[in-house]
Amino acid sequence: MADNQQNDKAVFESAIRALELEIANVGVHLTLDSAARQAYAKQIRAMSTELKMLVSTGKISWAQAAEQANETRNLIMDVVRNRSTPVGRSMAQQIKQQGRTLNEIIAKKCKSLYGGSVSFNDLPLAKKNKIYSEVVTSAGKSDPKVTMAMKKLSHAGRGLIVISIALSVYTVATAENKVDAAGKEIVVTGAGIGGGIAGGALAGLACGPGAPVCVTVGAFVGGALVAFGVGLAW
Amino acid sequence: MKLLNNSEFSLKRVSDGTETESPKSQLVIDGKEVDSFVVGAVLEACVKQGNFYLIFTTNDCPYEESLNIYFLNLSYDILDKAVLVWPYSTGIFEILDITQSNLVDFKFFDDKSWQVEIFSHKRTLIPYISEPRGVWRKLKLKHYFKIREKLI
Repeated sequence: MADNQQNDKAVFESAIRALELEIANVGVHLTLDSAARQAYAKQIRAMSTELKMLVSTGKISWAQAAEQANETRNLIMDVVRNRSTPVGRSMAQQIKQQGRTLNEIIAKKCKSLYGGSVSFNDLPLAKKNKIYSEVVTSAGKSDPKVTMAMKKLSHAGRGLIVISIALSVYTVATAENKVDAAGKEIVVTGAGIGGGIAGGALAGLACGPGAPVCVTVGAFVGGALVAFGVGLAW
Repeated sequence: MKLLNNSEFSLKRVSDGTETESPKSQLVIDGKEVDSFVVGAVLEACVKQGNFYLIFTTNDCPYEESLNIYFLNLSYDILDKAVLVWPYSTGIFEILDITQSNLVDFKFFDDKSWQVEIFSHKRTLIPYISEPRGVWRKLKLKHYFKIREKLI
């Protein structure tokens, strides 16, 4: 009878730990991807503002500013995509991404400002500069719908982390050896999150880019396996 | 189907895009403003199909562009809409073909062409399943048009 109760308790604790780990895993993934998105929006805005200031102080021309804005914008996009979690990166890669060339952006701006029949090369310098300045402004813009949606996900991610911490507190509070349980909670949860990111990255390598289902499964399995291994070793 | 020109159908921007809001514009028909507003800053194309209009607008955010697609009646009421957008990706709009009576082929994202099929009456589309990734709509079952992708 006592053995049965002990077994039931162990099964319950194991289930709580698995739940807590996966909640923490999802929470951290959402928070990291949302933070990467907010950093992206902030960096491109700062880059655009700085280039406009350099032009206004006469340090560079509008043409140079447009060229730098285009290069930097595409670079920031690459960097931020790579700073996202493997799950976030694989989601983003579902639609083939290709940075725009300066000529493509200039052609689009020229058409919207001066009409489709106008050739950029035939425009006077003032009109060319107007187009270049529009390119610099555009390089500082991100889609507000995406940024706001990611902000909401950030709140959800933080909520999940709070739930995971609450479950950890419960586990420690109900343990006989509280110091040992607290240490184990920290190490197992930390290892699980690391395992989740590593599992996602490995799944990404195995399945190729733009396979979010495979990468998400890899993140869950990786997190659970590493946490289980560390828990056993403890 | 007829592709309308700028003097027949255009937009007047009523609010610029911000960090939290997309730009909005008012419809201008034959030079006169009408009481109908859409999301978008640039009118990419307007196609007239019988008693309806299919309009394509973008938000003037060329490094992470959205394509807003609206289906309007002759009173300029919005009957249906969809958005093509994907994080960290962008597109440039181009009409490819409007020769068929209910199909509009266009390009937006790089690696494929897209097609809008206009239905003669509302049809059921299952959210997130009936249309390809990159297409976003409000949660509704009945729609006047469907978007599909065609690999190039």
